[in-house]
Amino acid sequence: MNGNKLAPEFYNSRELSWLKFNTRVLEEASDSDNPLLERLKFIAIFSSNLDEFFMVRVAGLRQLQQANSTGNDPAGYTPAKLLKEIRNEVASLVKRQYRCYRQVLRPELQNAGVDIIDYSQLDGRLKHEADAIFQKQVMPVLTPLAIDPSHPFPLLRSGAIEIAVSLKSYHNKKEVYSFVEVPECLPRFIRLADGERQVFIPMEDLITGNLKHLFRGSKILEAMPFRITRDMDFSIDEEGVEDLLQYLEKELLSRRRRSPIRLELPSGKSTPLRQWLLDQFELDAEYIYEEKGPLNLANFMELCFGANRPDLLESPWPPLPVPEFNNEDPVFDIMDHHEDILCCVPFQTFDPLLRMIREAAEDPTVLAIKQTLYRVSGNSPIIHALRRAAENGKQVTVIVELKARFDEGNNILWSRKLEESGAHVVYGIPGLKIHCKTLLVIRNQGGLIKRYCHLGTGNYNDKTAKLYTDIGMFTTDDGICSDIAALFNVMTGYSAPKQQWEKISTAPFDLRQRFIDLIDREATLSTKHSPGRIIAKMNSLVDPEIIDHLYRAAAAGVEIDLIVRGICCLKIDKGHGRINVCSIIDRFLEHTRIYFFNNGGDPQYFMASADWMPRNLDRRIEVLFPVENKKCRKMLKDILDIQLDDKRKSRVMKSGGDYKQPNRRNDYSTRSQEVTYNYFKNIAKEAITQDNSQILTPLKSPRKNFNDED
Amino acid sequence: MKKNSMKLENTEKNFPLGIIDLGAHSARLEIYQQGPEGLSDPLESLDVPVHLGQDVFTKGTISSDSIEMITAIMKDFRIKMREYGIKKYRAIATSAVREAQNKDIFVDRIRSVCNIRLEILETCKESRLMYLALKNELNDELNLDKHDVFYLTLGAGSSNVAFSRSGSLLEAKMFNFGTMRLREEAIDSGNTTEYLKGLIDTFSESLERLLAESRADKKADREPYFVCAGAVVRLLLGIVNKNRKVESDFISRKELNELTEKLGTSKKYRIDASNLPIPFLEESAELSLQLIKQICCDFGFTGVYAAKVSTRQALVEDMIRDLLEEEDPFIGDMISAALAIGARYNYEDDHSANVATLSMKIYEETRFIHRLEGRCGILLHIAAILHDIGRFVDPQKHHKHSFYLISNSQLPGLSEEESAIVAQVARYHRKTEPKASHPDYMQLSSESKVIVCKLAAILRVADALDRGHHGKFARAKIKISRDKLLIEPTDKYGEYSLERIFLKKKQGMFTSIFGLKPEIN
Repeated sequence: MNGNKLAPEFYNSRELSWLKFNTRVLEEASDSDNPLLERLKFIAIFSSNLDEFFMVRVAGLRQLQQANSTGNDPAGYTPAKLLKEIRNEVASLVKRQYRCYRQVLRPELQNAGVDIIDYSQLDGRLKHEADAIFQKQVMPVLTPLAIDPSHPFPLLRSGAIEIAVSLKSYHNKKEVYSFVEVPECLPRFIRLADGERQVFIPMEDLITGNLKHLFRGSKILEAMPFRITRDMDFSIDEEGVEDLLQYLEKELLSRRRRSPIRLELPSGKSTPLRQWLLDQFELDAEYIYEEKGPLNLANFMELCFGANRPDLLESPWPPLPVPEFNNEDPVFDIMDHHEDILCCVPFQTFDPLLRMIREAAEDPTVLAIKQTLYRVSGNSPIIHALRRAAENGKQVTVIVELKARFDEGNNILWSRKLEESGAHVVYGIPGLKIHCKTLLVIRNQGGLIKRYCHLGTGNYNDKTAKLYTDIGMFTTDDGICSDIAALFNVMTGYSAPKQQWEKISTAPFDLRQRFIDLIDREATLSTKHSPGRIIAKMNSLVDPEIIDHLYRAAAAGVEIDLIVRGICCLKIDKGHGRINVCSIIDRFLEHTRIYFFNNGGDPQYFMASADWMPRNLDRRIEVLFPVENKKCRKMLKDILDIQLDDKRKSRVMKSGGDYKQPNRRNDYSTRSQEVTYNYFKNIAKEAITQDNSQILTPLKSPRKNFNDED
Repeated sequence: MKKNSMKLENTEKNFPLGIIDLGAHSARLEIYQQGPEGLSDPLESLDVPVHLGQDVFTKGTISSDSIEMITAIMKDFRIKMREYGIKKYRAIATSAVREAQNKDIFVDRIRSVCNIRLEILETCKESRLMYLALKNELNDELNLDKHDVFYLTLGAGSSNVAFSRSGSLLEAKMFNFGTMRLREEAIDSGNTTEYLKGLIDTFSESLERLLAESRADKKADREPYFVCAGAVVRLLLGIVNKNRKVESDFISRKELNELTEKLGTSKKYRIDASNLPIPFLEESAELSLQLIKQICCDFGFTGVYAAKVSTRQALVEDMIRDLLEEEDPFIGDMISAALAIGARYNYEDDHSANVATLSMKIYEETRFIHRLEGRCGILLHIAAILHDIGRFVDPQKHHKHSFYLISNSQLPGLSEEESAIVAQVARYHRKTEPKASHPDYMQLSSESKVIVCKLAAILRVADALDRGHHGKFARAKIKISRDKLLIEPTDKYGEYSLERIFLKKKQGMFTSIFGLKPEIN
């Protein structure tokens, strides 16, 4: 279906394009206009992104390489060639990252009173304080593992920082090795207060400095932190897995046993301990990374919040009210009286959705609630409300997607809780990840059934709703509600898919063809005087077939703007000068998926849970839905215009696939996320002003109307 | 007659309702809303493939695998209905279950495990539903009031033929052949052409006669239509429409020939069976096409209208009428079909019309005494129309011949029990009253026996009043006065001695049942 129709030179490599995305993240760390701790955050995001990239993509490529695969990806790379390119690129990026940290951020933070130093740099009172913390809080949870012929090489946790120690016993003068894991339950940085100044010491440093307390009776010869990353790719055969849930629990256990794909060490001269460690892992040189600084910089995220220095962070943008919902009325009444309502997090509050579920749980006219849940935070208020609804006798159906990477442990726990409260929990469909974000509430008002729907571009997750930009639509549109009801029937196995959806399109059924038809129609309708126009905003653009159709549309004269945050395999050089690609990286993670087609002057707006990637179009359940309400369409248009106008945080793809860094001197007033925030601020203000301008109508005593019949 | 157990409170005008339809190759649930604007489009349509047809039409029973599968599906349907708070639903099963040897066990299983009362739809009722659905679907487009139409509905396990004249049904019959069987049986027979001819023979005689009448009627001056419905027909229409510029529901004979030649040969004429769960549909489609072509050829149709039809829609409308106690729109068709049967047996139409009118008058006047409800009136009406058709065989013992002929005619819209009641009422319109030694009568339920007695008693009085076959009492007033049923003629005939004699002879049953003595005033 998605076979490559074009030669490799028409596509960017997916992996290398991803690395370019992470480069853009790193650029934000170097942007001196960003507050210091925000820059440190981007250092952390760069690292955690890279960890996932290794665990999934690099691991997958290595599996292919080990299976001696010589097949090419759409861009023409063999696994071996690609791994080599990745190695070179990652090595240089990480070098840049550490340089930025060491040479710029650390000194500047020090000047600002946030000092990240080594244990060895402590003296006097601070050292004493740190040692006391070690004795009281750290030592009790440490478990050194001895390595000798009587103890097999231990299973090391992927991503954890370990300290390798070589020792000589005072007793028998024998040299032994040991590992000490920095426990996950401890903070990564110890915070010490020194007047105004805050001092942070990495935990592994504190432990290394106090090893003598751990190994009494031995002489510490050498100690060195290191970190391994393991292959976490799930290439499981899902057919015939009777109980997916049980299977995933097992899979979690087996993660520890997967083979390492990266070993990180501090850079330094070769020592006996270093040599011993390298011998133990038997990794090829290309999987070993030597870092000039602390390991696992992803943990800086913790420090950014722990430092309690709001002056070094972006000023907060408190979520704004959604005017339609900014009153005490029940959500369902509000939905009854308005057409579709859009809610754009994190600019606007996530509250209306929570309110909708909470009210549904208590509303006596509500018969049923159905929701897809994916990567929901453990202590989610949504889960609480759904449990409450089930306990109140509502028919609650929850479709839980357990295959979200790295998050399964969390999912299994709360889904069990839901089941216990009487909800009907469906654990996905083998082979199809349920990625659509849909909520349907059915009410019976005096015998009349009414349905209420919420569709979103992002997950029903109150935590990510503060960090990811997403748009949700509240609607009572009959066609959409009917389609979503039918889609739930497909997901719960109650029915075969509809032959013809009324309004939505769904993957893996008709979505791919729908997108292609929409793109092709734009090409057909395009004329010299009135060229077609496509604006598509998504997270990643990978699908070769879609890219092919975009090139063809461009050839037919269609002007195409693509706002793609992450991977983009489309090459603008092949777009006949009519395709522009930009990527916005800023304080919030861009996550909305909006698709605009001019349709010969009768524009159509859509939102979706899907990107233009083969996995979204072929291997997941996804929803594309039209936005038909005039006010909502205007809002989407404004949001897209604001993004296309960004000259500060938007990077434009150049010929060859690199991105042009925005000029630092460019006007901050076009920074799209800030403009968007102000846009919603104005909407909220206008609504309040309108409210105030209304004439108040006090209650008066009823006057007899002579026309009234008694 | 049993009253509908789901009678509505007066206040309940709005409610969601469910229709479950268990067919040969799919189980479906549709949920509708009855509201202030009438009936909505389905709020939900669930469709799950099943293999009932394969089981029953090849092995005669529903396999245990299918029972398990359908039980699971029905449980899901139950949950789904609960989601909408549905209290009113109707669950029907058609030919596949109807013919299964283990149908009773199956129905019981669904009831005990899933708490769903599955009703096996009788052929006559199915035939009524299909006709109503077709009429509903085509009325606007084909202007049925002005045309004669031959309908063929090709189901998976059974099919239905019907003929209507100017909007009134004349004949409707179910046959035990269907698309799922066609292939098996045609191949078994060794000669497909002969097999199809045999099929057509089952209805060709009456169709020829009806068509001859239509074509002879110069006033009508319109060619009768041939309308065909069913999944296979829609599939064929899809292929034809794919190959022409303007879509239409009509397939001409020329196009049928083209289709036969090209079916399966090129991509454009490929059957896209991927969406249909029916196995061996491709062969069934070819055979169905052959059958349709043969019918066009044999009976001189210029082509066929392929209709989209859903019995579920008719079923739900039926259910709402029941709940709101509205009149069945099929009653007119039941009467016209009864008249057509009468005509086939050369009945005396004036006499039968007089008796029918009188019977209905007495029935209405004595309502608070006989206390019969529901469809008893229409049963009496049909029995009155057909009471004398036995004369076609022999005037001697003609009541017994009437019984036999009615029992062996398909009365569209009537259940088996109802047909039996009609036949028995006609049988007892004269001579002996029901006795314990009459086996056919004794087979009826006690409820039905009472109905037969009451209706036959009325029919006897009405028949006596038209003894001279002159329609003397056509406009008579009928009223009850103390222990008498007074019949007051309003017109010029002053001489009623013959009627008085026969009334005296035939009133015994009426008097003993209702305690009223009929008298001509």
